[in-house]
Amino acid sequence: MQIKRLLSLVLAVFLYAGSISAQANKINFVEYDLDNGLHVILHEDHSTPIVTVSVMYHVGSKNENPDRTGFAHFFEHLLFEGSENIDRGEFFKIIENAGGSNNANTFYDRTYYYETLPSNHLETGLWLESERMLQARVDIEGVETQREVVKEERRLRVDNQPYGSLLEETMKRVYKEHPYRWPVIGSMAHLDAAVEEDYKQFYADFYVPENAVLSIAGDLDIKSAKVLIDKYFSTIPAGVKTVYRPSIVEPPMQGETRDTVYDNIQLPAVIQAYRIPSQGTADAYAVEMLSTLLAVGNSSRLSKRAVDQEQMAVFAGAFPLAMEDDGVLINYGIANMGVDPTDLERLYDEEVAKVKEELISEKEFQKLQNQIENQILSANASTAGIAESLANYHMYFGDTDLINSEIEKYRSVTREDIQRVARKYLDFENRVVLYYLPKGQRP
Amino acid sequence: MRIKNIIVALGITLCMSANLFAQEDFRKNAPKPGPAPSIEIGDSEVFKLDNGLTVVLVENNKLPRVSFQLSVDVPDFSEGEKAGYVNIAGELMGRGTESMDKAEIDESIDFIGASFQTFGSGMFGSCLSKNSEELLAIMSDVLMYPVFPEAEFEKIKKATLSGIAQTKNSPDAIMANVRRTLVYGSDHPFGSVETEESINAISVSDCKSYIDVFFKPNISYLVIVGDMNLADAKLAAEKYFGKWEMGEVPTLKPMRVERPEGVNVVFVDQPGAVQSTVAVSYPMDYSLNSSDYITGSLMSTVLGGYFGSRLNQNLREDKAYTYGARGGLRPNKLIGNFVASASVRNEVSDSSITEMLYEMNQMINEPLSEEELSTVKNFRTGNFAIGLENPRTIADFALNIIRYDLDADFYSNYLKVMNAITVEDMSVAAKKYLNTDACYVIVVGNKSDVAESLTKFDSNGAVDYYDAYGKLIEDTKMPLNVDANTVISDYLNAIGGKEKLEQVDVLEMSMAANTEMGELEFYMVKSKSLNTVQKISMGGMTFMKMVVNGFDGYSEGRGMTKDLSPMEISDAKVDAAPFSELNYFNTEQYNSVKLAGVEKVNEEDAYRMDLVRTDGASITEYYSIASSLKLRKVQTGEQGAVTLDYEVYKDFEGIMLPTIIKVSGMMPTPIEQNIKSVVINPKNASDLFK
Repeated sequence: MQIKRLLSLVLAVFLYAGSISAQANKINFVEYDLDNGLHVILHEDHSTPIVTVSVMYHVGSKNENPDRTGFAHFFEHLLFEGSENIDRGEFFKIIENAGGSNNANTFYDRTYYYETLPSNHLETGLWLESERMLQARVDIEGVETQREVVKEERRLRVDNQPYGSLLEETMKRVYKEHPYRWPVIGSMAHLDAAVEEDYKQFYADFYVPENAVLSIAGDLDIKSAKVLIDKYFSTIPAGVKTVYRPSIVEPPMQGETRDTVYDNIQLPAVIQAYRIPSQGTADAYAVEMLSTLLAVGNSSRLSKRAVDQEQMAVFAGAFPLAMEDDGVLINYGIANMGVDPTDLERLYDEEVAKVKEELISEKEFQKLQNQIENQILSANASTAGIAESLANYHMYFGDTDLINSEIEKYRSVTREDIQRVARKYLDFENRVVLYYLPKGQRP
Repeated sequence: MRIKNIIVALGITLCMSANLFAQEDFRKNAPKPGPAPSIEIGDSEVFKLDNGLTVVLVENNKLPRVSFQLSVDVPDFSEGEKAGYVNIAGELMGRGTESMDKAEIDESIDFIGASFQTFGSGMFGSCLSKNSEELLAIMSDVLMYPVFPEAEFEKIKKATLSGIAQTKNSPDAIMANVRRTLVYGSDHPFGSVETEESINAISVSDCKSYIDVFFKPNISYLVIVGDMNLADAKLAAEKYFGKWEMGEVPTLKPMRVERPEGVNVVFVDQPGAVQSTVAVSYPMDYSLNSSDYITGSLMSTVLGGYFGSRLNQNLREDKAYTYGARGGLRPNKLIGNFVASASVRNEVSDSSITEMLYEMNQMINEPLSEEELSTVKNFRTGNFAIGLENPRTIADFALNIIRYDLDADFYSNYLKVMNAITVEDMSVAAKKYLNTDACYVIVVGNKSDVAESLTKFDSNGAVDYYDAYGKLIEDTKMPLNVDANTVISDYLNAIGGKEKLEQVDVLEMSMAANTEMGELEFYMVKSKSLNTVQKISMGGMTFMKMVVNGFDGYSEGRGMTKDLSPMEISDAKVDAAPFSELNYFNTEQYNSVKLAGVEKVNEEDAYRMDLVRTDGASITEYYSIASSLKLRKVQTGEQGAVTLDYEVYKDFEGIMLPTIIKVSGMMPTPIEQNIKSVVINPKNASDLFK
């Protein structure tokens, strides 16, 4: 059992798994813009009497001022504090009193809020989200409390968690210029230093309708939903200036970076992080299939050899973090007891070299396609999942219908493409190698 | 809190709205909800095969996929000295059949993009519905013709041992271990904890006989959820599971579980922890069969089952002690339990427990308001509906009705029963199920920061210390007339006397340790002038070498040489004296040296000494009461936790030194260093530091 727990911890590091989803059972939707620039997407499905109301804001940690890192995530906490018409602490109460559940999350490129409610409470959800967009309000006590809560969140997820700093330690070495270099949870010192003006500015800059997608899925009637949306959102004023999007282009990596992180762990880990192209590009789909080849399923290349045949690792994973700007493919392994991490790394290098040298077989390629197909056909099982996918496809690609057609992007990847992207991106000069070692081994 | 309240009262508020335009009236209040939709539980079908296998089907063709869960209702029993073998048996079962080895199973599963796992209580597989025949064929083969390969057994064992080693750094895993042994007792089916010893005691035949004895269709359920109709389900069940042979399964007598007497505070030391994981817990008869099950469940929601719960509002939203606090009853057919828990920063560990107990007492002593009762009913009603979106929920309902022998309309009446619960019912349930007078208070955290503040909660005013696997660390009474000074001076006398030790200018030592990689050689020079050499090599190849000489120093490793920074040099000097104990009472080097009690080290009574160096490192050492020799050193702080056990002291020119040093915490597996040579005041010593 412990081993499963360990794996789930490691997986938790990569909470934001890739967002491919599209499906053969067509997802119908309507979409339109309000005059203030808010994009609205509606999906109607009456099978369960529930509805998910979500708003995705196109602001993540990459939009932050380098002196105020962690702001996007901190806002995710603050914007549950209340508004002109909702007192402190009432936000959650209203949702729970309606029988709903809600959550929010923040990543490098965006912040996402949603609540799933019994469908007779659709209007409640719209009211809450419109208050959040129009006139959020936070008092000093709320700021103080949430700042401490965020610090506990950091201790829980990063500092007191084996390998909890993996993503943070990797990203700060992969990126030297681009804002992906700082962690989403940000600097606690920056949060401590923030003043009233910082909060007002961030809210005015990013929490504007033209920077948001309102995505609603479930037991609703499209015609009457439109009327309600108009009532709550059409009078929210658009922002006064263009939303800041960093144009910083991370220069190519200047050779391999190697480093060691000492953590409260028992088993060493090896991390190889390669720069990969941004999401939506043809190469990004090929890289994703490459990572499936390497580490999805027990028969995948790294799992089969490192975990099963040679027992050098207790777990082998490959995780493509395709984002709006160039992302990373993180290949990682947790060494078995008594295994030298350099041996594990050599094995990974050999497997990568093999993909570059030999074209994968027709049969293995068929397996990859089946795995991807299964993944895509299994997505969209819930209204919450559908609302989020629809918003993602619009915000990142400007093509909401990718929810139905993205599978074609994978189908157009060839065996040769997989070999080509392996050669192009899985290059020693294009990577960071990190060893995680037990603290006691610090020289 | 008070100061903050004053600030707010002064009206300093961050109003983030950039546009204070005229309010539209409809925004002022929450809109009225429409009429409540009716909540329908989807259909399920139940049928039985001739061999006694019960099949539950929930058809749902929203997505073209289907899942098959086979649950064996194994009677609860204790794994005893072989804790962990049920899990291993379950995993091993899926590692090879008479016709397929593991690689072939993996290949076939991945080829259809399916997922498949086996475990101690059954197996689970899911796939696209077009591939269900292929998946079922594999499941059936694994179920009926497993071969339990020895080599696969060794692999699982190795991975399990790695996982157990990992437990030491996971506060949640430690809490689970300790809570389980305390609440149920280590002999109880739910109380056994996997340890290195218990895993090493397991054999393949233990695993095989477990599956042989308990995996029978007549105590099992096959749950099919997804894109498959009743006719196909009947055909598939018969074809793939119909030949599975039924058999007698032993029934086992349940054990009694005793509540603790009074409040028992238990602490597990996790040096270096930046948060404490705290819990209040005790066993409780509470099951889906309990006549007041739904009331108990609703009461749990109020206390700690949703964001607005009393525990979360108090500990997170009001006091910001934690990212989240939860709590409530956990039902089980045999014996349930109560637990409230949170991860909190070290300095508020005791305050968090105070607040948890306070909230429990409030529930017991004060009736809740009609408003709160109605909120929590609404919350549960809505979430009941949300849960029904997942067809698995409907399958669970059908399965529970069979397994717990519930009324057929238990779930269709659930909301009706819940909405009839009164404030008085909730009080009765709180008084029955919540108890702050007889419970365990468990804390996993940093002992030096936290433990002392917890004695106030314990009925006997004493904290019990447990290890990470739920074993009590026995305490022995402290003799009189002993203090930190006498322990250290007795030790110095025992190893040769202060005068003799002070004459050691340079101490040169070589050690060797056998590891899986080969023989590691350690070479170390310490000196009174604090020059030092440390080297680790294998077969003549140097992994790491560090030399400090006066204000200079360098390190070598992996083929690179670099100069040490002034910081690294001063760090290296901290431990460079041949006998640092001579300086323990030098306040420039040690902030405090305290005698902290008597504890056992490898069955031997020892004085525990807690030291804090001026560089912030904290060190705990253990000195034998009988021999006065140092038995163990645990160094924490920047260096993490490293434990050194000193054994078999021998005489070297009148000075006693340990000839075996066992080091753990540094490596995944402990290593044993054996002294090869010791030279005291070597000739041309100054050459050593070049």
